[in-house]
Amino acid sequence: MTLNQDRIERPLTREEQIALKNKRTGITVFQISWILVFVCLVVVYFQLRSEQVVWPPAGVQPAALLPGLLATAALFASAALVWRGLKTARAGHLHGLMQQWLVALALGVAFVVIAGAQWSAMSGDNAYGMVFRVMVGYHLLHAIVIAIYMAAVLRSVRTGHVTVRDLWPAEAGARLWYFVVAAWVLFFVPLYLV
Amino acid sequence: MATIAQPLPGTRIEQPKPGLQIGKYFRWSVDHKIIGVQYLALAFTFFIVGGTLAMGIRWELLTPATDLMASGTAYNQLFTMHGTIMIFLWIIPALAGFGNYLVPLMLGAKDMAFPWLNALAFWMIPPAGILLILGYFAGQAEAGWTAYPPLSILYSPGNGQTMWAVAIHLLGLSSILGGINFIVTIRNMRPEGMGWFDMPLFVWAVLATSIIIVLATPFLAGALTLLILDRVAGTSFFNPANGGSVLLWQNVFWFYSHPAVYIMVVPAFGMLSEMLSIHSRKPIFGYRAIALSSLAIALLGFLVWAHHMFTSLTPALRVPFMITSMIIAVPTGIKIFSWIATTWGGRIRLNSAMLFSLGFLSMFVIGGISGVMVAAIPFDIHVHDTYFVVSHFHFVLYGGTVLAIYGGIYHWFPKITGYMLNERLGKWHFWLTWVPFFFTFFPMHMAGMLGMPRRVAVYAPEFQALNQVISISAFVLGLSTFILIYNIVWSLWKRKVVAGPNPWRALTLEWNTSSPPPAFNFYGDPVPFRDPYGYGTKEAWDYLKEQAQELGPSYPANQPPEKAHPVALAPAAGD
Ligand code: HEM
Repeated sequence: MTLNQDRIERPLTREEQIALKNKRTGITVFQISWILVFVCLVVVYFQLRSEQVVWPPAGVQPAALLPGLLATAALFASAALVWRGLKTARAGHLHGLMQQWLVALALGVAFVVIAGAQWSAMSGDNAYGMVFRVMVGYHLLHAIVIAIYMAAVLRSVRTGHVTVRDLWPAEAGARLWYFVVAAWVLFFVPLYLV
Repeated sequence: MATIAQPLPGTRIEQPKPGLQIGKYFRWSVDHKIIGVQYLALAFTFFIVGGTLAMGIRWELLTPATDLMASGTAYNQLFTMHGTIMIFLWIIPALAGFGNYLVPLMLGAKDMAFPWLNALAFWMIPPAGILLILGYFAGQAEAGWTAYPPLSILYSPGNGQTMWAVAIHLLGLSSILGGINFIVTIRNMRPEGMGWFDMPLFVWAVLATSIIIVLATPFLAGALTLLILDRVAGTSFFNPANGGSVLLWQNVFWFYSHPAVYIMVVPAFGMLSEMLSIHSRKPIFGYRAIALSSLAIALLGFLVWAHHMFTSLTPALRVPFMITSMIIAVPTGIKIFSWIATTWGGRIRLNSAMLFSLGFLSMFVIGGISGVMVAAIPFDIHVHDTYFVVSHFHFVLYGGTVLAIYGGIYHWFPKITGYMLNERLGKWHFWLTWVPFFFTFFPMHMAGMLGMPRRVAVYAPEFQALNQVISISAFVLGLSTFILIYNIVWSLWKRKVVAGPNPWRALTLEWNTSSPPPAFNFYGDPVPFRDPYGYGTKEAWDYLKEQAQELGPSYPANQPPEKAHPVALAPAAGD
């Protein structure tokens, strides 16, 4: 067995298993914690809303639903591809992961473009616009940073730094992308539906 | 009397001493023990800064008019920085320091789950602290540690208030990273066979605290983000004139900050459980009740925030919050009674660590009772924003947590450094802290009930006598801190009295390795025993010997336990 093969095929040592378990628990706790910042913004939204007689304030146009729905659909589709890509990689096909994630990233970019367009079209000079811009802007920031991380993972897959033996970077990217979806749902409901 | 198979602790040695390698504490390190000490040392430095500001406050309040401070604004800046530094740069990091040092040792782990992240969390604190203090040159923050708008947005023109918010943001992030690390470490790094109820109570306390940190601090992050945006990006989340709301800040801030009060005290509860049982030479009373009450406090802590806003709250919500606030006294009471029962009938060793632990019990109970008093709506409305409240939270934070930290220093210093602190100085330190503490903060109850508002540099002349008693006691209290500093420096300089692995004859795992512990904490992988307070007993020895035959040599590599008697009853340092 060559050194490289050994790196790819050797089963995880006990230390590596513990490290992986730690990373999984760590990212879960982090997600539980960080989603609460989004919950906090939802609370802010409802409190501001409760203090207004009409919502959005008179003369202010709410964000259009259709682009919002489109963005949401793109995000959900991308998450499904991210999930499938990871599954394929776990079955030993890194090539499949590359393909699926590339499409997922393209969908992610579509999400950012649509939501970004709504963000920039919204005026922040009233309570509704202000909270909309902060919520969507905050979410977009996460989506962009995590998408960049996922692109970096893809690069590592291509250069052979992420292997089937240790898929943690890809798994982390996937979990973070699901987080982006969950956080968006949390915002989408009050901003567009309720 | 048990046979002691090692040099008695407290023995003087004249051999050449190993160097202390102070330099390594100023560098990036991923060793949890070094990080723990870094936290403690940095926090203590900020304690001195915050304490000096407290002396400034008390100097100013010696007379009813302004004298030390040029203006009311300068006074506002003074107490804002005092409160902020004490909370975010002293109490919270100091407790994190103990957690970092002790949790892996108590679990028998080699380090924290994420050593690198651990170092990162620590190194976020110095820049945050510096940023906070540099605000002085940019128009210091002046809206109190609670930073209520509109004060913190419309009436704090200096950039210092923005720097304050950024600094607290950084500190919050550091706390979250630390909290995640503790949760993962406690969940995953326990040796095989160590169940949840085989962990020492300090570890339970750190777990409960970490749960609070990861669930509450994100709300602070959210609120601070909006505050910063209001200050620099022209939004008006907290400005009602443009559709914002001032109560919004109060709600979100206290949704973090009340649970944060437990971040500041629950680890101290854990330390107390360890110290009281060891120095009473008795097993802890009500182990499970104490462990679970930490979790109950963590949970209930999220349901009481609006008691800070009784005066501005919708009247219909007052009673529910009063009830939840009263209920939280129950798990706290469970702990208090368990601690009293632990000491009851024990062969108490009245050393400095124990004195400070008992000091905690006495003062924290007073703070707890005044807490129940302010939880009652009519009383709170009377004393809201008066010195009664200042007294209440100092009884809890200083009389409680700071005394526990002092106790913890006397208790674990031997483990950390390998040397004992001077007991006589420790006792002087205790008495010159405990008595002046009482005379500094107890009269504030009276001032408050008589109507003296907090956060004022100028007050009605009839309060002067009370304020003079308070200030003079405060100066003695402030000076007493230097006894501890002298004690530490003296002990590290002279390095005369060695501690040995287990100077207190304690029965928890951290005392079953050398002092200071080796790089990976234990010589071999410790095998857990079912009783977290049973290491060193004959029963544990037999069990662990059996295990060692099966699993290979492990515990205790460096400390043969007693032949027949519990270690706890053998002579200890200071006996
Ligand atoms: C010698 C020790 C101390 C003295 C004499 C002292 C004195 C005071 C006084 C007189 C005030 C009220 C200022 C005012 O409302 O005008 C105050 C506020 C405060 N202190 Fe202390 N203190 C001491 C130590 C501590 C410690 C150890 C902590 C926390 C661990 C702490 C936390 C606070 C906080 C949070 C405030 C509120 C600041 C605000 O109103 O924004 N203090 N202190």
